[in-house]
Amino acid sequence: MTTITDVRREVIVAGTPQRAFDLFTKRMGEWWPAEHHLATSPVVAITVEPQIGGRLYDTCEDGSQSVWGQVTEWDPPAGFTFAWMINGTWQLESDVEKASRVTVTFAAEGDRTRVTVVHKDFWRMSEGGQGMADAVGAADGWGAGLTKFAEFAGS
Amino acid sequence: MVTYGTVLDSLADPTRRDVLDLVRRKPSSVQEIADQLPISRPAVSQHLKILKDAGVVTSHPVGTRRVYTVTTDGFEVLRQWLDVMWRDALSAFAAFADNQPNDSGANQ
Repeated sequence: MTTITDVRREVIVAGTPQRAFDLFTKRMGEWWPAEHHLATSPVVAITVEPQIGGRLYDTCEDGSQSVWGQVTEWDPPAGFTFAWMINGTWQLESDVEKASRVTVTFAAEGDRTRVTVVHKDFWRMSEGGQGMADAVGAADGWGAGLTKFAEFAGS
Repeated sequence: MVTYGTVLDSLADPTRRDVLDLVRRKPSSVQEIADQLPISRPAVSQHLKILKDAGVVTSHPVGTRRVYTVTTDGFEVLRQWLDVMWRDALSAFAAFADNQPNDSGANQ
């Protein structure tokens, strides 16, 4: 089957790796682009349970929870890995083995921290990967909304 | 050009996602799909039309039947989309982190 190259992105932020790790995992709901939620109700919080097997989930205004990840490696402040548990039709993929992986690392760079995201292991999605690929459509349709969020978050 | 919004709209309906799931598992005709779902044949046709307009499925004739399949060239689209998602997510994170007091999160 087709191999998808890993997605790799990085950014430098102020402060130590420990600070960045904590802001990233404990306050995700405050910075995660609002447009990128699968939940139908407005999201009021994002929780990252700080341990292997821990869930990543949205808590919605109506009280419901929407799980979209599961921690597979937990090594603060160096980094963590989670299964991105979304399948080809934007539903929860309950089988961790069929979920792609996202690794986030935090490395000191002088008095700042380099945050690197690698989204990988797309082969795990097997048949679901194709459906998802079809489902996501054009990239430019997505970017506009997130740019707005970045402006908002930075203000 | 099919946009992200068009695709998401096409998947907003739960029945339509069921239709897509069946097509994804096995290329199918309208009748084969209707046999497996509690909806009429015309309803299946309508859902397939919307999925097809969104570029999620395509169809081709096999003998006297028309068979629907998921489109096959989307892997790179997925990758590009995730690339944009993480670029913007990290950008938002950096803006957030740089605007927090130094003593937030953990010790400096």
